[in-house]
Amino acid sequence: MMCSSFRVFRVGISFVTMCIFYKSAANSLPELSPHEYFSTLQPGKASLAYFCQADSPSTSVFLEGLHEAVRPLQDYGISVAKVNCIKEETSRYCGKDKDLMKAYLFRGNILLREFPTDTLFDENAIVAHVLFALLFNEVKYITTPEDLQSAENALKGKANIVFSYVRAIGTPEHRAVMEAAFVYGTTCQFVLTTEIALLESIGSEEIEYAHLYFFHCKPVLDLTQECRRILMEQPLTTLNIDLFIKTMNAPLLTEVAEDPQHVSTVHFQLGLPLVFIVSQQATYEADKRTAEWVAWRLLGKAGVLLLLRDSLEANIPQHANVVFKRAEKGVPVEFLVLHDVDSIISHVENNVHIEEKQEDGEDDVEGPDIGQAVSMAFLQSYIDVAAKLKGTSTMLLTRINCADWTDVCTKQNVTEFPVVKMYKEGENPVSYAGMLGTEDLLKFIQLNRISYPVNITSIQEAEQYLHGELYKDLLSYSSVSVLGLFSPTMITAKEDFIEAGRALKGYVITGVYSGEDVLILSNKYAVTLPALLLARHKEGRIESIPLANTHAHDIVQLITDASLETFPEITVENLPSYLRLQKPLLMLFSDGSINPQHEKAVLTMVEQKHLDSLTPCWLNLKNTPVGRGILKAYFDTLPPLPLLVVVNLHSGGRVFAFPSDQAITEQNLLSWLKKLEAGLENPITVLPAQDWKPPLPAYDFLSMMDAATLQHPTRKAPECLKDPDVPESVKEHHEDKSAVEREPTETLRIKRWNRSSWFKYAEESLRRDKEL
Amino acid sequence: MWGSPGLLLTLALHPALAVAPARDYCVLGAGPAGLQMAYFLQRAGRDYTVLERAPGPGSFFARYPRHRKLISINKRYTGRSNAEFNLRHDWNSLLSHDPRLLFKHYSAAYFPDAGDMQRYLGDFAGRLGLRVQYNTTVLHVALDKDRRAWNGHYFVLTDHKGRVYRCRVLLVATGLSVPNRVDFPGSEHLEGYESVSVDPEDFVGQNVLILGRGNAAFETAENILGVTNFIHMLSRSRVRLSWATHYVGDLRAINNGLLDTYQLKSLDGLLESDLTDLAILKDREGKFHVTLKFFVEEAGTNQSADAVTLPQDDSDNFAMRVAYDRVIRCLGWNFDFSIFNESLRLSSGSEFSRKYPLIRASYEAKGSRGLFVLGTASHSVDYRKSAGGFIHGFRYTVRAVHRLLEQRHHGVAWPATQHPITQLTSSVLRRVNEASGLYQMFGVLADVILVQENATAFEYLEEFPTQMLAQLESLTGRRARHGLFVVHMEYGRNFSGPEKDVFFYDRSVGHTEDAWQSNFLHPVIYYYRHLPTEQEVRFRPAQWPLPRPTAIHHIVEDFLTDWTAPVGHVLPLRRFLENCLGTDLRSFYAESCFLFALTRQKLPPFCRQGYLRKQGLASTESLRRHGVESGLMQDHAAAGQHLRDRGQQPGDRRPLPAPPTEV
Repeated sequence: MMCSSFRVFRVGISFVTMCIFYKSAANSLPELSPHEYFSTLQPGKASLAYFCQADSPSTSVFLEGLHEAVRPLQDYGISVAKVNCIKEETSRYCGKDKDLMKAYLFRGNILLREFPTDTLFDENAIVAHVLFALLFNEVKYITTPEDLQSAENALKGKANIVFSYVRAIGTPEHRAVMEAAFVYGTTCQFVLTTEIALLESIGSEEIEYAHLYFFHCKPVLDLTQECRRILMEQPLTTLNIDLFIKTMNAPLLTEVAEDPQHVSTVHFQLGLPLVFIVSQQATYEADKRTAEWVAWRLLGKAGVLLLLRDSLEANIPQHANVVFKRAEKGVPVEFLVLHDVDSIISHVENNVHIEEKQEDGEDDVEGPDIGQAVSMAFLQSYIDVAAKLKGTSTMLLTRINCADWTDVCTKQNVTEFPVVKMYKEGENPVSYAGMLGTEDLLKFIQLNRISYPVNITSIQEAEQYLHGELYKDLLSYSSVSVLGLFSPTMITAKEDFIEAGRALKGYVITGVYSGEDVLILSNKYAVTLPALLLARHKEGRIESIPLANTHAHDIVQLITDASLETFPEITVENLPSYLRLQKPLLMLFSDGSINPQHEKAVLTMVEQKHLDSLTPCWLNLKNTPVGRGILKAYFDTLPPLPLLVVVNLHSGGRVFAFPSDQAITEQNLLSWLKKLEAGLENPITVLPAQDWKPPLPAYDFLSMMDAATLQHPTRKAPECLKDPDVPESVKEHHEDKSAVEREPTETLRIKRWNRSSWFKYAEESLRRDKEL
Repeated sequence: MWGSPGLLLTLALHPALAVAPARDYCVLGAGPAGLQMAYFLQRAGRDYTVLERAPGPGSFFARYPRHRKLISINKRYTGRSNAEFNLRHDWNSLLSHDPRLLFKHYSAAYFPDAGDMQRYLGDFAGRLGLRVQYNTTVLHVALDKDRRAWNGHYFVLTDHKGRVYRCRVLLVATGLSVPNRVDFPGSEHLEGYESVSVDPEDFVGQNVLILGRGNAAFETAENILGVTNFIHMLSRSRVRLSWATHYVGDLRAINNGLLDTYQLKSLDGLLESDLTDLAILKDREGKFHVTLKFFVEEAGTNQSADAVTLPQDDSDNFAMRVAYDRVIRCLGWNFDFSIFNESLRLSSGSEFSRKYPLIRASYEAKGSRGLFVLGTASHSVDYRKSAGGFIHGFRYTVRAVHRLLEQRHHGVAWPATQHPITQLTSSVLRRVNEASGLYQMFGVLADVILVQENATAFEYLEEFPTQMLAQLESLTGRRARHGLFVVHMEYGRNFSGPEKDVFFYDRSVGHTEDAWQSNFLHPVIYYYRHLPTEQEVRFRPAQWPLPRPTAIHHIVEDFLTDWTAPVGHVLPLRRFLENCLGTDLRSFYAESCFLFALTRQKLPPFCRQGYLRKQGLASTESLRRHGVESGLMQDHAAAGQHLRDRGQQPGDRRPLPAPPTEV
């Protein structure tokens, strides 16, 4: 209803705007003779004219303002002109006195108002005054609370009121209200005051500022009832008022039956969040009442919709009763379980309760966080994961702010933040122990789609598994797949392996096979049972490792070590795994992919066991740009790449560089390493061994307190003995007396008496008598 | 009386005694404190019983306050969902795991009705299935020495039916039940708060004198203010306004209508005098005259009202020269010592131990090991300081007592959580922003952080009684060998007091470097390299709540009591913690840790405890961009970048592309 009328108006405005384009290009303020001016006036069209003597100064503060106001007034279809009186003295508007020139507002050729130029002190004042005069009926100016009351009463059941207080007519706020009135004046009654008392009467505080209220009078049918008043909380600008009135005019409650992700209403377009109350046929009436109540309370803060679950195609988690759609575009909707209206309101107001993202399913990953930097940094990654999983996963990602939900987090035994926990029906929750980043978390979540270990049921399936055909889509997340082979009687060994598989859940794919025909596999891969088969998919290799009396913990270690590569590209993510080996790093820095010949040289040396005391690796500066920072620490000037160094991290921190004038070949490397071993090479640098001390000093409050005590010694001698055994009342007693004694004697005379002071007091009054 | 050795002997030889099975814990009284203790004992699976005189819990609230309005606030909304935080503003609920047992579900009134409290306590006992034996009046408590008993003796309780209970530990939660009377000539004419009429009709057109200056006195005055000719109020000390003292037991604004009418000259008034010097005479018309004991004594024993000198005879402008129709005594309450055998040594017999039993800061009686005083009767520990005499305070001290008992008798160490040192700042921040026990029992209970060897980890203990700090190891079963932090909430030292102007201009401090001058309740963290000794606690400097620490930190006061501002609150705290421990507690992205790992021999704790354990904090593209743009991070990806700066050693410059996530 109101929207449509507005849209019509908007068309009108844009049309006007187009006119202005041409006009303003011509020039802004036409100077006309009175005759010319009156001949341009068109019936029904408003026009503001400044009549001035030709010899008056061509620039003045007023004229500057008028120039500024031309364009905005033309936006409202009001033309502006400067009329020079000298050419034709007959016009009565020209006046006699030079100093008393005025501006006149006409509609057609009817004079509406005349303005002394000092009221039109700037652009805002001109626009405000002119619109105020034109919108005489649309904007009612009032001065007393009674006026407001009667306006309210008159409009109950008929129209809504936009009530505003501005400090003065002609202020920027006044102009903003007038501009809004120009647009909405036909659908709402505008009421304006400059009286502080009036604003006070409706309970506003901070009256320094302009205020604008929307009174919902239209729905009020009972005259004894008050119109609901909503205060606009933003500053009074034209744009803010426009948005505010739009949301106020939007329907209180909308019913929808489509995916909340795709729903948009005027609220959403205006940057407000949407709250969907999920309803079912059976509870429709009650839900609708709740939703209306919520909508009423969230008026101006969020849009409220009733979502009909029964006729809905999109999936909504069974337990969710509220869907929250943030104002930010592109953020997934949140499914919530909220039990009363208050919690819905506070959720919207705080925006951070439980947010449940993504589609429903049986899995649930939960990441509690407390509002601190590490959590906040990780949260970004977490949200990225949610976005990446959107629509592909049966996983429900939620976030809990433990600063708000301490009890929930404590119950989950969460005491450090941030933490990610995974909940799967029928299984114990698993804490995620990997890198706090998008890639690793994503990997963990994807790998958790299968069980650990996977129960392989046949030889064929085992072969498929080993050849990466069983979980093709997961291979990019796990560099190896491990298969435990056991004969049906090896119960303990199998249990140990299963336990190890569970511990590796989410990190390395594991499977177990213990069929009667398991010997077929052990023969094929030439290993005695119990054993592990390790499929390295990238290299297309299957290794076998015998397991004899190996405990779960050792199996985990075995698999972790086995999944390390012989000559890895070192990255931020994998360095810790290789540092665990506690060997010096033989590291090749490369600006891009590694030279295959260099790779071959190193791999050959590995095979020949020349590098057993080192961890050979290479770093691609394109993938790991922070490597430049490392080179910076090792060298004075950027050395040509590729470049080979040995970093002795665990003993002495010495760094050696392979001579850059030598080619990286097996022979050269080997002889250099021998020299190194023999101590014939000098390190290019020694890594500093400083401890990590506090980066900056703290405030020394203890000294400050001491200094203050020295400057102002306390009244009482420092009575160090504060014996908790002495009841407080002893001390209180003394303190109270001294307190009384500090009072002015005049008060004492009236208020205090007891046996000892009584006589003194009587004496004093006697003396006073004598004096009289 | 009860203390006679003859009777003790009789009891000791009583045949029932020998067979009466001993209970581990006996709780006297099913008021809020007794029920709170019962709750903790029940949750811990202990052998306990609560003995209650009345047929239901919280019988105090059946009669008191006489005018039925509780002055403990029932704040139902805080705008927060944090249940722990909300307890900071909930003065009526007891602690439990059941969110239905929050007082806000029992009353919508900000100052609730006493009947609702009784109903609440009934539900608390009922829903939680607490073991309370009602209609059992314990008449006598004595000791039975037995070396095998936990504390070297059993507590032997005898009830009104002659039943005997033997208890290993006795928890006394009987409150203050004896009206405080002052003895002076004419005191028999007084009406007591406990029995005076509450019907204003009975006071119409009367002149009323009220003795006392507490909330009961003002509550009584408030009720009849509109119908009396005037009310005068007389007490020993000047009125203490709770908003000036920050002590909830002082006069609350809700009751202070009479202050207005006095200061606005509406015939009502306040006077100060020592009540023990007073005498009240009844004249022939039944009206009461105030005079001094001194005059009465002078007039001799056989005086009539008319024969005794009145102060106005000497001084015709004597303040209390009018005759009163009623004199009402509202002088507070005392602990009922009468049922306790003298051998328990609950009272020292001195004047000042008449109100409260003698206890230590651990709430254990000074005279009897194994006897703990809980609730209102335990308020001597923090009288006129904190909230230990009120539900919102003693619910926490009761929990502390229970934790002490668990350690002492069941070997269950004080609950503590273990964290890596990198979590230190956030652990402290979290507690100061939400903990209700620290907030309500400011100055009395404090969190204690025990630093582990090499400062790589710490243990966090909540709400330990600060005055027992020296005995921390034995009381908690935890070791404090490598230094400790004590997290405490305090008001400014010279800020509040009965005569202080707490609204003075410039009363709040905004700059972090002035934090130590903060006036409003704010967190203070004490660092001790060594656990203070008992001597140090006892002989600490005047006005210090704790012994002088190695270093101290004040988190600057905050109008919203929200200490999470990154620059104003968090950073100075982290610096303090870092400097106490001599380490760097900043957080780093994995990328920075990677760089340190390859360019330094040592890593900061955050990288050691996170990154090296494969739990580094990965940066995201948008964060990295933000870091580079704000100059916090170096952009290693930038092409054609010169490598320089090589000569400088880390340590004498800022860490490399370090701290975009500095906490």
